[in-house]
Amino acid sequence: MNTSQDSDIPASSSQPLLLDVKDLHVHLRIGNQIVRAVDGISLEVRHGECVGIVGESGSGKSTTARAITKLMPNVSLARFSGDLRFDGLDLLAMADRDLRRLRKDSGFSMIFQDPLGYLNPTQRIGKQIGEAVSRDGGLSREQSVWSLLDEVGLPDARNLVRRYPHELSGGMRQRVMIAIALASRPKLLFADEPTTALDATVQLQVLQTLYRVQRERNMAVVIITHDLGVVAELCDRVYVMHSGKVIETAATQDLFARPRHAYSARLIDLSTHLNPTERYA
Amino acid sequence: MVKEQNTTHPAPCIIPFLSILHTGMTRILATRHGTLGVVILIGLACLAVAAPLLAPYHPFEQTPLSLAPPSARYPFGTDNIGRDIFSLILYGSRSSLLVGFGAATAALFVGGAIGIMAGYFRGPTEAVLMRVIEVFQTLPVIMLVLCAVALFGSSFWLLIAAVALAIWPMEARLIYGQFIKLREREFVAAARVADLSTTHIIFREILPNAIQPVIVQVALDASAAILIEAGLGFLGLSDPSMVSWGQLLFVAQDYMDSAWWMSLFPGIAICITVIGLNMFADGLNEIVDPRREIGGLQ
Amino acid sequence: MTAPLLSLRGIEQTYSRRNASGWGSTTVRAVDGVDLDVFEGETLAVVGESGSGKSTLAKLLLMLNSPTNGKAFFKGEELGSLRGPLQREFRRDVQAVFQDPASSLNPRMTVETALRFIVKRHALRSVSDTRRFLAECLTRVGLNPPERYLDRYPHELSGGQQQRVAIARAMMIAPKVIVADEPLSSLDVSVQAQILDLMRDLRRSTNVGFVVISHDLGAMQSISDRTAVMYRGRIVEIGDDIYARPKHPYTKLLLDARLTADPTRGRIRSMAPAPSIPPLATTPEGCRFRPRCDYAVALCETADPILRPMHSGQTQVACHRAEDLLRLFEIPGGGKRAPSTGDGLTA
Repeated sequence: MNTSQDSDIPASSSQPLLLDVKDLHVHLRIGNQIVRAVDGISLEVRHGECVGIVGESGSGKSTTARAITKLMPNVSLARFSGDLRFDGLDLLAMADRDLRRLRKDSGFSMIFQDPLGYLNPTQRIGKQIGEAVSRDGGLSREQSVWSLLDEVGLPDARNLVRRYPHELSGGMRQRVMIAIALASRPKLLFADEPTTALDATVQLQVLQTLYRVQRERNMAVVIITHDLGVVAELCDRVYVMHSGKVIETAATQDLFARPRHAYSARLIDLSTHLNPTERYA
Repeated sequence: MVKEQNTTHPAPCIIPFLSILHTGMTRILATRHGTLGVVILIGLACLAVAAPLLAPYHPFEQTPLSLAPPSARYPFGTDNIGRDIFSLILYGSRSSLLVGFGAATAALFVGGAIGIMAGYFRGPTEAVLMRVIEVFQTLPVIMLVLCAVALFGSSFWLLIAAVALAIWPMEARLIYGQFIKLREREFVAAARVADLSTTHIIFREILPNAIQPVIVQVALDASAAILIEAGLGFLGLSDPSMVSWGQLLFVAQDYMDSAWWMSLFPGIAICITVIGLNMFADGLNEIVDPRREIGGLQ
Repeated sequence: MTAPLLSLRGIEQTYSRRNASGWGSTTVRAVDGVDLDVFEGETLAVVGESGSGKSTLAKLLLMLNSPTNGKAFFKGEELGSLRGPLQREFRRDVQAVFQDPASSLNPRMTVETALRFIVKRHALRSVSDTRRFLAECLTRVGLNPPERYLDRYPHELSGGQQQRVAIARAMMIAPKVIVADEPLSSLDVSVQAQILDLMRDLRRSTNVGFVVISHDLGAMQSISDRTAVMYRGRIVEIGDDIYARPKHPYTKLLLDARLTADPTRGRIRSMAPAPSIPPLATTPEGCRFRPRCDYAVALCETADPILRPMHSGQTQVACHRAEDLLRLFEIPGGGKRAPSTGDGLTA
């Protein structure tokens, strides 16, 4: 499969990169086979921009995010190589302790597809958010939690902090997860299929929240999804992945208007096909 | 619609069973515990079967030398009435293994039947059967068995039944849990929509998927059964016409300080058997780990 | 108007679930009074979000569960508890495809073994002829060469292939209608399109009917003759033209919530931040959609709207204001979405 890795990125390339990934390889050993989950990809994220990584299942998009954040599940790795730089720091060379520090404050955070699986069912919401808060001279932990809940659009913080995850609706849980992710004031937020498990009506709200939060904090966001609609709505730039490689990357408008690779064109066509009321010019 | 020709299949259950057995065996020999366990068990089985050939003396034969320590002639020594302990152990393996596996199998069938009924049919059946299981679980095992033996005597088959009585609730619970879980799976719904019979659904659809943890449990049950049987023998309740290791320990009680060989060797025999079974169960557990299973049952 | 193949009248399915606290239980009304007709040869879509009851409805249509209330009719005859010749006929004419294809195939059986049982049960072919018949069935759903698939276990197949096997299994018996419960949601986008095409082909070649349960309105628009929209256990709108001319506020909401794969038409960036609206309590008498409805009036708080016909006999709506709102909801230009102002959503 041909890969065309041009960047069509317009002029803000003078700014230093927040995330600079070069030639990432993640090969997994499954049974007695080696699966090249991520097969030599490079990507860049600037401060404050929203980047989408789009692909079908098996494309390697989730593995990419987990590899960068070093949140890989317990699989045996045949190969893990590449140049990963976050805000100038070399992620691969970093000790675990330093990486944890990065996750706890002003580094990066991640939200996942199924909040019910990632929230502690035996702990109240307030406590879970509170634990993630990196202390900031001014506010108490409690105040920080309220402020975060307000920021993600959850009303009635006083009562909400006493609730358990299972008492909330799916959309509320996802917002709680966003709040937890924001608590550490990350410069970069990874969102792995953030709205896939949600109803359509709720998805709109959660995406809106994500957009607003991103703008207000000037935070970079990397959205991993199979849904081109999400990408079209929120992302400035897109990487299209297939079989562990980046097939194409472009600014969102350019990708949808003039996809260069047949696979990207097909994906775009399919999602309009399955949403037939929308036609682009 | 063509009328089906009247051909007879060979017993259709046997073929999948044999192939499962074959794959099972190959996989279990890949684990260290499993291999050790299988080796021990096969060794014991051989000893049990070949006891008459291997034993230098008939177990009830009383030699002139009583309370003799281990020697070349009597490798494990003799007991208080002059019987060769080595021969006694060999013959004893028969009853211990028989009672152990017999009870485990009986528990499997009884527990399995009840577990399947409770787990598949739910509703009032489930409620009643679960209460029955709970009653049997809360009664102390030893008391149950003692009562059973006191009431019905201690012949060999009754012994198996008594021990099975003690261990069947575990099997029932396990199978019940498996059936409850599997019953909701979509392939079961698909079978119902295809109008396949209830018997088919229980035995051909659900059971093959339910069986793995059950096999592990059976191995553990067998080891528990052997221990219970040894306990019974130790209390003097085993079948007097058969030799059993527990019985040997019963006799050895009074000679603990004078004839240590009378208690040591039966004790070791019991230990090895139970350890072998547990290792076999460990090996089974490795291979039935759902993450490794075919079909992605996770 | 031909007689419906399947008919549901006043169907209810309630169950009680123990409260999280352990004290007492709440009654969940998964399906709360549904009247539905399924006709031969038509593709009926049932759409809704989580909690709408559509999956429960699917199980009821397949008689996998018995309704707690209401009656179901098959070819005019009442289906009590399913027994005897009526059951056999019902099970021949009504088949199913499920959501998770990996889970709907028995992991311990090869494709051939699993399908053979069904062939045998319904005496479709002789034993010696079965393999050839199965090969035909698999070819018909696009699995070529069929021999390669017959001896495989489900986990050796891809999601799309598994779903095709499931469809072959349903089609084998030559049913009149297939109830498909979210047949696409476990599949990749490109595979979804293939399966939709397959369903369309089968409809064309065999006139089999479908009842497709889905949350994906876009996919349903391309395949359905009629669509029913469910909300919290009830059908709030049913008709053949709900995508261009929605009549119920909830339908409009669902249509508006779809994301465009067109960056020039993005809405999130231009949306005013929606204030988080605390949910209004539902009064037991009123319309259940009231808390989320932008168009509610006083009547909606006291009277529960029932499903009633509107204009053309094909459309039915359960809304007091359906006639007024019709003009408002009309999507001009044959399907282009009108921009929405407020969402009136709670999350």
